[in-house]
Amino acid sequence: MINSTRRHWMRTCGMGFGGLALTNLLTDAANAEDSNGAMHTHFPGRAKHIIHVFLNGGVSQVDTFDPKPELNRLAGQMLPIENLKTERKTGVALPSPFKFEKHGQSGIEVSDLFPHLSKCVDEMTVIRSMYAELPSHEMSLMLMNTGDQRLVRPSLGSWLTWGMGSINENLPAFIALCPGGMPVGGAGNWRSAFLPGAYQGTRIDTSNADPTRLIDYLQNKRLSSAEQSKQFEFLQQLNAEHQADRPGEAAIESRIKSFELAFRMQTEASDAFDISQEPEHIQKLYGDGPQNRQLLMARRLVERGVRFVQTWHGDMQPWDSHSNIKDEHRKVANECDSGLAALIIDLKQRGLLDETLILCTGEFGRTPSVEMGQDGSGASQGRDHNHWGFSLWMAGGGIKKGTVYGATDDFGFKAVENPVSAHDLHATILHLMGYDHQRMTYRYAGRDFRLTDVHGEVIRPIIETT
Amino acid sequence: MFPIHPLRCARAGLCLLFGALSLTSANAQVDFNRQVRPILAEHCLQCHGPDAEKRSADLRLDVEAEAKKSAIVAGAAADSELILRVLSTDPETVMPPPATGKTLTDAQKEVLQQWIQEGAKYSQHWAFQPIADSEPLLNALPSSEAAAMPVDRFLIDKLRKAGLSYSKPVNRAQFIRRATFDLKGLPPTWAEVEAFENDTAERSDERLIDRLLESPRYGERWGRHWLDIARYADTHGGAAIGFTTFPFSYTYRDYVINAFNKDLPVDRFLQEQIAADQLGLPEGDPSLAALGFLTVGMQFRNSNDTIDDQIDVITRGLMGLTVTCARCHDHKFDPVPTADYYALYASIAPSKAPSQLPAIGNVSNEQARQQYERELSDLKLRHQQFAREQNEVLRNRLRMQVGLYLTEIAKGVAEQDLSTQFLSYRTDDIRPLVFNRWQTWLAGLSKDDAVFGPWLELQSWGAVSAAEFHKRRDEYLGRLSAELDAIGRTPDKLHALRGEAPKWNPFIVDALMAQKPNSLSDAAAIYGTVFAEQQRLWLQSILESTNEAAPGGTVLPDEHPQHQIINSPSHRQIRHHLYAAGSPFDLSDDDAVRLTNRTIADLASGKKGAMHQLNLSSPGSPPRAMIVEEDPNPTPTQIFVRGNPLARGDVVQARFLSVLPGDHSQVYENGKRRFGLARSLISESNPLTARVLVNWAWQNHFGAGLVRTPDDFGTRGQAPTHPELLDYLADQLRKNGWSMKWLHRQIMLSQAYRQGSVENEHSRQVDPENQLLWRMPRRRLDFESMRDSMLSACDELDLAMGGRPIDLNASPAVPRRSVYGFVNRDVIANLMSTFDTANPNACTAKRPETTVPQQTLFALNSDFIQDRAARLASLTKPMNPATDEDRIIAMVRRTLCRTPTETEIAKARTFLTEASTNTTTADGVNSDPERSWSLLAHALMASNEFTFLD
Repeated sequence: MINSTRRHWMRTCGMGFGGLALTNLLTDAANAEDSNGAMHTHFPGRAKHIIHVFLNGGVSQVDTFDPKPELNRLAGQMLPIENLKTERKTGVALPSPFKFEKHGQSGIEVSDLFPHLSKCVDEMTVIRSMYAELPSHEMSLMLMNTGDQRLVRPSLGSWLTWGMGSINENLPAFIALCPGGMPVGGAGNWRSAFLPGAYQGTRIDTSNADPTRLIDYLQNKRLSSAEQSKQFEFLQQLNAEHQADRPGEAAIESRIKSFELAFRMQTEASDAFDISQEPEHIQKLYGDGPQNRQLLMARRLVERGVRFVQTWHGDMQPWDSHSNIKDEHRKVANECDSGLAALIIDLKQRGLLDETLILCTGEFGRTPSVEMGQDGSGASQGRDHNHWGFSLWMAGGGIKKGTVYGATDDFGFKAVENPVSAHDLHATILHLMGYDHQRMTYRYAGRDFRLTDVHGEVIRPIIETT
Repeated sequence: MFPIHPLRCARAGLCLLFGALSLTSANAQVDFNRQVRPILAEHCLQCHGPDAEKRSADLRLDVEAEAKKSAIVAGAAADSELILRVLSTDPETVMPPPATGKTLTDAQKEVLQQWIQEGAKYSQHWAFQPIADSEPLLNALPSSEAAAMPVDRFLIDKLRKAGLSYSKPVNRAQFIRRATFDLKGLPPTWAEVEAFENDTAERSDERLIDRLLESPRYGERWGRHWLDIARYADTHGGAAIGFTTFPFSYTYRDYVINAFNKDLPVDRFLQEQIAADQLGLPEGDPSLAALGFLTVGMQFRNSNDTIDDQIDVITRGLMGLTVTCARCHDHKFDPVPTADYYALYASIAPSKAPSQLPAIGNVSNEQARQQYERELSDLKLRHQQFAREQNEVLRNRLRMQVGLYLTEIAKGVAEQDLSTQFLSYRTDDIRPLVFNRWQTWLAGLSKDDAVFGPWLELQSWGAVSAAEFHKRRDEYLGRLSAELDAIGRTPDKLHALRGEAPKWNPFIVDALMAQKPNSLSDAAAIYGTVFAEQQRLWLQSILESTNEAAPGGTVLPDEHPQHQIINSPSHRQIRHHLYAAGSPFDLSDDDAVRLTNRTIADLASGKKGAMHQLNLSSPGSPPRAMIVEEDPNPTPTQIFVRGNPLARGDVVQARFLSVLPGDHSQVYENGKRRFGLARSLISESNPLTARVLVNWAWQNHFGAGLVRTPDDFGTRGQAPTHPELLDYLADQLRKNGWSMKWLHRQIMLSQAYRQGSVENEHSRQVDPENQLLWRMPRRRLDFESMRDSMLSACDELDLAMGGRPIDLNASPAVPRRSVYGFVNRDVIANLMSTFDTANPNACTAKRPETTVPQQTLFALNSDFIQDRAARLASLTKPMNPATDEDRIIAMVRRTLCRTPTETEIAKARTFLTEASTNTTTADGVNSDPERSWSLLAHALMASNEFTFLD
């Protein structure tokens, strides 16, 4: 199906939102980079879409998906290992204030932070052995999103949309949803860097409830639709006359088509974001609040063919609970728990889960030891950044169901069993989408760049066997 | 299964073309550079190329002698291992190996065979060969009537050989529109169009081009092209939270615009951008702003990345060479060894931005200036005071932590990477900078040092067995102790105020004897205790001595033990290492505040931020040049093995690339290394710079360069379509005083430039990519030209030049030219990325060209275009006599630079009528006939004719 759509798209010379810049290939202006066009998948992929739920700020693994009873035993005492170096000084063991229970057939343990989501564990692979390089938000965000924590590199979403193109020309292929602001690192998280600008994520502030305001210039605020229709007709007439004297000109033809597309999009794109069109029981299933609402939006977008949707929990770093983790983590988990569960259930009931990979992660985890406040005491009851070990989960899109992969040490500090880097994760995601991460290269400034640079190994054990 | 990709077609087209062009006769000799080198570069050199480390089978195919040692038997393809391997069907032996995913086509295999059969002749890559002398190149060509300018002779010759010719020239109105956009980035006014149409005298084209080149708008247009190369932006980039603005980046932008306007010779232009501070300019000279070329790039946290970016902009931007590939390993395809990268690194690394940038202009408002000066000096004082105090605290803490650092050294850590310095520190964290200073300090001591001699001795034993360590330790410490005993260890000997410094420090020797270290780590802890004790005693004694001076304090004589002991030579021996100049604790205040704990560091940066803010926005803040200054006594540069700054390799000198002929081995003078680099860039023996400049200008006139990979002239880039023409212009550019305006005339007065941009099916088939220039490529206005034209069409454009950047997204719009817009590399404005502006994070030699519906949505719905349209409508209203027809004509002339036909006028009138009758508006009724005029103006500005050039 995807191929026929694609073929159609090529044939009609479409140049949808985020689509391949065909003028680039057809006019004389640019053929310098003849290796820069889109590519096919290397082998049939398992997934066609990704919903990347980013719980930005750093989710505490020992309070969510990585239970550590040792912390209860050692409550208030120093760990028997030396506390690993993180951003700030940490002290004694801080047991999780949340209760863990086994769930589903698989018996994967999840804390009571996620009462709804925990019912879906049988669809998930939980990786408990993620690690990053440094306890810095920005650098870890860049690592997770672009594979490089320092240099300006294209994001995962840009790579994939460059590779796979768009299914729906009326919508951007890569959309980043974030309510009320920007995560740390801003647009760097979804930038296209040296890939053409068309593959950059389109950011949409989902705190705005009016769907027509979500995309720049999507609506004309001054003209009635009757007026605009007349004007549009006249404009295309001007363009047709102009074209008549300049036959066979791809660039001119492209812009005429682009006008038609833009005109249609004015209504169609607004629709995609309009969750009020969903039946009430579906809206209820996801729940209230911008985080839940944007997960429903993500489903509507994927359903319409958007390749890569990233949902950010919120402005800056909402999961960054340096103090009072009990209340702070509870608050943010409450904001998305029902929506995350609904996303899995809803995609599944629509038969979309198999072709949609859900990835839910933060940029790093949090320390099992208590963060020392300014006074050097652990009264903060919070946790510091922890890049040594953390958890994430994935579901759908060819990922194994009801599995736990990797482990941290006895205290949840450091990944010790099957450690997984961002590069390994990226290699695995590309594999699920049908790409060999070593062969997905883009030539820029004389070098063949890869998302995984010179690293990365596909984590075969978490891929569902067919 | 998959649809055929258009790209493959494009590639196939390219092969066909080359087939048609270069293999006109089947028996023609294989051309190494054109046919063989690309095959080797793409398929072989990754493992058999310049990179010594990754080279397989010790075989190198890019060097003739090496290749002919084993793989190639010249004249005998069948006996050559290379051919046997590429023809092999055995997956074990076939080359390239299946794992690389690369395969050779039959045609490529044939080329290789024929080439070897013909003797396997190598020749140097075209880009590294000297620029050919221009006169013989030109004289070798037939002259022709159609050839108005020398460039035409080169182009026509190739077209003719392919059976093609130029397209019909454009008319005068089209020509002036094209030329005006090309040189000014703006449309001509109707008066200019008319005047040019009526100027039928000879040399009218020349007069037009000259007039355009004299316009200050020219510098704004071509300056913007240059800013793409220079990865110009007004913010630092890479900030974690928010973003930081450069207060003075605009001075570089204005320098560039001015340089183009005054036709500053490009060789001088380049020199100033690399080394303006080393050219003997007077203090406060505005040309110092040229150094922004080095400094307006992305501000990485790690200075190595910043230098890498500078190397990139210099080599890729100015020489079309991807030198930064050699940061971690020898270049895989081009002859750029890692040592060359670090030779350039050494040329740049000793240069840093000073804390105070020099003012290069005045502020007209004297009162504002005075207030600015007052506030600045006040803030500076406060920051300095705060920094000094915090430095005191930090140093005293660090003096307590000798053990911490020695323990780290005992672990064998050589040097710490300074790139993570930004992380917030706690009191007990190792500071990489201090750690490295410890290493340097200890390296400057000898085994005779009274305090650290024993440490160095123990360290020199390296990894020995425990038993061996014990044996040596007892023997060594026994000897030291005996030597001390021999001097006599009575208190008056050791602690007398006027005593002699003992050969070995008794505190150290005694502590070592008492605690018998079993390892260097043990010794580190022992040293740590002795030093901490000394620091405590000293601070305490200062407090006590101070108290003596307090009202009611007890004054003690100088000979009192409390004064005497702490000042004795043995105590002072220890303190020397804590307090001496150059000691690990001798930190600058600026360094110190960065190393303080988080809250303090934040406070200090807040104070700095206030100064920054003042520079940024005070009306009294004068323009300043973003210069760098070079340290005349730099530390030697060592290669970072595999790019790792902690793995130091050979020392390299500051010098130029070894691949280029000439004086590359000449080492640049200390303190003037960038000057040396600038000279190398423009030197006679460097063929790259002039070629890259010519290609850059050509690309901006014709949409594509003679070399279509403008930032890769290396072996994997595309070869020039017209190598002789490229050399002709490059040689002539140098001979004509490196004048850009000369180059524009050479190009724009040619017949080639006059051609129409109509499609031609036959030509397209022969030369699908228009490499031979059988027509002028169709060009679309770039973002800046589009925005500026809309402002210009409605007479709104404000032509004020220079100064602090304006906000391009402001509403209502700031009607300045787009080149003065604020460029934020942290948050790239949607508007700019939508319209393919240059990525400000790295040198952009060619902008991408995409067609996405966001662009047409902007044309349909943005306030910007609708505001301009409304203004154009109201502007044309009071024209007298204001018939509808006149008004339509005026609008079309202002937007499309031509007079509409009768039919077009009739259609426009029909639209006006339709739009104003029976059409509901957003307000429900259409009561204002002016509304329709705005709609008409809007449609004209959105139209393809407005957006494309003929």
